[in-house]
Amino acid sequence: MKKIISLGLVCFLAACGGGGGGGSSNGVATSTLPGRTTFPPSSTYANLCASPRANTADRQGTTENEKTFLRSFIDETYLWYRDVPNVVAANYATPQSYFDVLKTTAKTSSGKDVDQFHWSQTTESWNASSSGITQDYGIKWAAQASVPPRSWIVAQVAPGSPAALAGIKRGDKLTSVDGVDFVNDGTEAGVAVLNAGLFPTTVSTHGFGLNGNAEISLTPATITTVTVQNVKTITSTSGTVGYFIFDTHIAKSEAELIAAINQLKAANVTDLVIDLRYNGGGLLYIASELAYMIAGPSNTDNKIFEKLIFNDKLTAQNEIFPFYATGTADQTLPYLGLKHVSLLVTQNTASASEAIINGLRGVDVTVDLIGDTTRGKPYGFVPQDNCGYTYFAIQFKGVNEKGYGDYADGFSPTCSAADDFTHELGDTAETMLQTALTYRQTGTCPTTTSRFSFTTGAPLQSSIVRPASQEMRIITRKPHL
Amino acid sequence: MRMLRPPGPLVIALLTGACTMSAAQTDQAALLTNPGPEVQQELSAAIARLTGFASVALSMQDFTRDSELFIERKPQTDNNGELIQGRNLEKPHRIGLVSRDGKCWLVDQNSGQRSPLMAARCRVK
Repeated sequence: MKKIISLGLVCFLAACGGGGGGGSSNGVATSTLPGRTTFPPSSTYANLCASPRANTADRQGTTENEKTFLRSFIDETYLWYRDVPNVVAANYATPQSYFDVLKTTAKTSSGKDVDQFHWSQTTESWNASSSGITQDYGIKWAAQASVPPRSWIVAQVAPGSPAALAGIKRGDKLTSVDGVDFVNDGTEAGVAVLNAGLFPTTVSTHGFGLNGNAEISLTPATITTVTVQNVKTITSTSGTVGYFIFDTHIAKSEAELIAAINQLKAANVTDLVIDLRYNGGGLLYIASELAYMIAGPSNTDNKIFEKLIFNDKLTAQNEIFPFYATGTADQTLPYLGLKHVSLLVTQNTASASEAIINGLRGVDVTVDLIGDTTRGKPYGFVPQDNCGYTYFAIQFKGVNEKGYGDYADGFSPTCSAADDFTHELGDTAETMLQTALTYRQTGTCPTTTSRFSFTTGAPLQSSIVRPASQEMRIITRKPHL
Repeated sequence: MRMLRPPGPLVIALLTGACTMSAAQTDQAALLTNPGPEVQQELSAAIARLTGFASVALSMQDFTRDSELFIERKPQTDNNGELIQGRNLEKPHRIGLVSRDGKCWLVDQNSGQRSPLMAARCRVK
């Protein structure tokens, strides 16, 4: 049943007993082998599985075979393969928990882990596909706190979704789910109800209380993802400014971006603000196409948008992404030919979105960033399947025309500005957009204050809760309960 | 050099031409005329066979307005709620609904593979 396929992937760790790459502490290494630097070819151990799956390439093997495969795979392909600690495989209960520690422990200059992205999940769950649709309520949540006292706000509502039809709006605060106090309930039973309502595994109706009001009933529905929204122009004394929201890089984005650029070109815009605050990336070729449509051929001809650099054993796989001037149907892409663009960004702006920033700066297009420091993910994976799991180890780094790609701490904003939940996205009174417009006009960052205050008085720093993936749990009880 | 994007129309024509059907027969872009749960199930199963994906989520409107559809891996998130593949190099599959000799087919225009449809009805676009 299709509906269950979409939603049925939610599987809470509490029920599944682990899985995923989320940092199991099982088998913490108690010793380190002397610096072993050679490993057997991973191909020797590929598909040798403790529990072979029927009708696959799996063959009977052992858990140790699976671990040996992973160690060799990491040695062959991991970007920082020299920095992987030699840990004792037998100390780890599963191949997945062993994989979790096969990564560098290096820190960035700001003290963050260089590799925060190591990950694994079941191949079956990874092999889900779609035609650009989702099945949910149509709410993008911003979470300030996911443990009591919880604080979630509606960041965005998908057009035509059940949430939109029910009148739910950006800025609404979640206060209850199916009669359970969302803010304070820390009981196991209460958390189960919250999870069931927010991340349903079957298509059923749930109640959502917002702003302390009576609950509204919502039923998940199939929603066609709209990746480009609110395309419009803003008049200023220094010319017409184009604006649009761009939320994710998927295949259908190409047509939506072409339409947006055509619309803005027809309006003779001389400057552009793109709202990337919730764009965590996606297809890299879409990022390249958008960068081209912003900058045009005079700025990008024969230039590198992003070069993918693999480790020194895999230099043959280094790959150049040009600025694509044509679309996937070989159609000529429209362009604005700008030398300046403002991008609205937050910690949720990542990967392919950061590639747009870096790619444009690499060809001397001025990119003003308004908002918060971006995520800092100049890396990518080539997923590897083995024995029913798919493993994601960072294999390449992206650099621009100038060879720059060292932004693991993210790109700092030109002007800081808070995500202002009291205004709709695209409203010129919304703090981030207002700041962008002021800065381009005056060259000075305005002093802004948050238009939204939390009752806890905690700093306004929200992270987006993206649609639930499998084997994850977002709402948790208070620690130690 | 690896192909970083879905193939354009020229490649599609060459791949289609490589099939064993006679030259007199040609694919014509088509639209679905009988959308419904049974047809949707058939389309999903056919696309899963063509692309290798374990599951395929379609909407009821797919192939009713356009004869082509991009099928791509469903964006998924990690425990932090972040996209796992933020820098995705995997090219989407461009799936076409075509009519040929009065029958409806799905064609994966990346590979040229095709799958006949039994329950689906279509008309030339």
